[in-house]
Amino acid sequence: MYRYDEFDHRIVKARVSQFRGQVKRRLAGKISEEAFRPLRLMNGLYLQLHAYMLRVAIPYGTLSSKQMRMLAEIGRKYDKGYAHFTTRQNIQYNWPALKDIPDILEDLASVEMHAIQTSGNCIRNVTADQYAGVSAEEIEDPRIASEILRQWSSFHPEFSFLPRKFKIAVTGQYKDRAAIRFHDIGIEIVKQKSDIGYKIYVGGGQGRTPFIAPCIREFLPKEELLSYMEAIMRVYNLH
Amino acid sequence: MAQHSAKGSEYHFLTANHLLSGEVVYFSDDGKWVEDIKKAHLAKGDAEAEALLKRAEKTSGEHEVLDVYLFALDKKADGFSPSSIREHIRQLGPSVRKDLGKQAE
Repeated sequence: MYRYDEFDHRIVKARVSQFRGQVKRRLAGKISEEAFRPLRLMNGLYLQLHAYMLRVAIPYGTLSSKQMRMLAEIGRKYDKGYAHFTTRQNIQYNWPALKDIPDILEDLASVEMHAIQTSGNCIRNVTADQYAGVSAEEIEDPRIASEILRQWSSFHPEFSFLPRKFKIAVTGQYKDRAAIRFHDIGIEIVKQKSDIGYKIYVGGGQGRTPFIAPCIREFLPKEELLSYMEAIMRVYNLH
Repeated sequence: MAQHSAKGSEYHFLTANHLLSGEVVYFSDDGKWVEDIKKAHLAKGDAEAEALLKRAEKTSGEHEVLDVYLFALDKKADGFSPSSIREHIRQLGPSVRKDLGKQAE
């Protein structure tokens, strides 16, 4: 699985420090709730019916045992002893206190995790299927493309303030366990002769107006993935 | 005026979320934000409800609570209870986890 380099560590640490300052100013009444709301949403923090809810990213659903133990410790230390794995491969804490969020984020950063871009109008967690990397039918492990997309979409300056949330899923084979056609962008890894590429679906979604994504490209060469994604995002942003 | 108000509802409580903890709180008779709905100040009629909202806005800071709003109540034989399921759930706790929230205390 992907391991943070120096740059990743630095950027996540800086983000934690930034949010710590924002929470401190909010608690001191120096920022209004109106100004603070988008900031906390960018760090995965919702206010729900009973309490705050923190959504932590688990990129394409892959966790190490060290990360799992930290998630459990956070649940015990700051919450009510449990957490909730979501349908999009994140994890949620349903009862954290606002004052504890910076410490939670710091604990997460220590095991290469964060809550960045798990809420708000941005590109959310890229999801794959639960048998990614072990399925015999896989053309290629979908977590590789998922990681490329994760790095591309994180802090992307052009796509940080979208009209709405945006969701991408990747499947490594024809049998789709990632529900890619219910995502804004669905990517199916395919083979054409000896070349591996991507079949692209766009415009799927659930919610009030569910839609099954149509295919807009039967075979996209690997090297064109990111430029194609940018084209889709720009059309989405424009219209 | 009321965020979760049935048309023509006569009675209201004022609610918010506690900034620090996110807990559901209610504006009480003595002008404090409390977790116990039984201590919430009852507003009868639109004028009282409006006055209650203004009083809370004047005395409470954004450093204490957020998302302040009125919600409608039904009058029952044993008192008043929220008209909406949403406020019932807010008051009690998650409907799918009876071991969590106020309902478990």
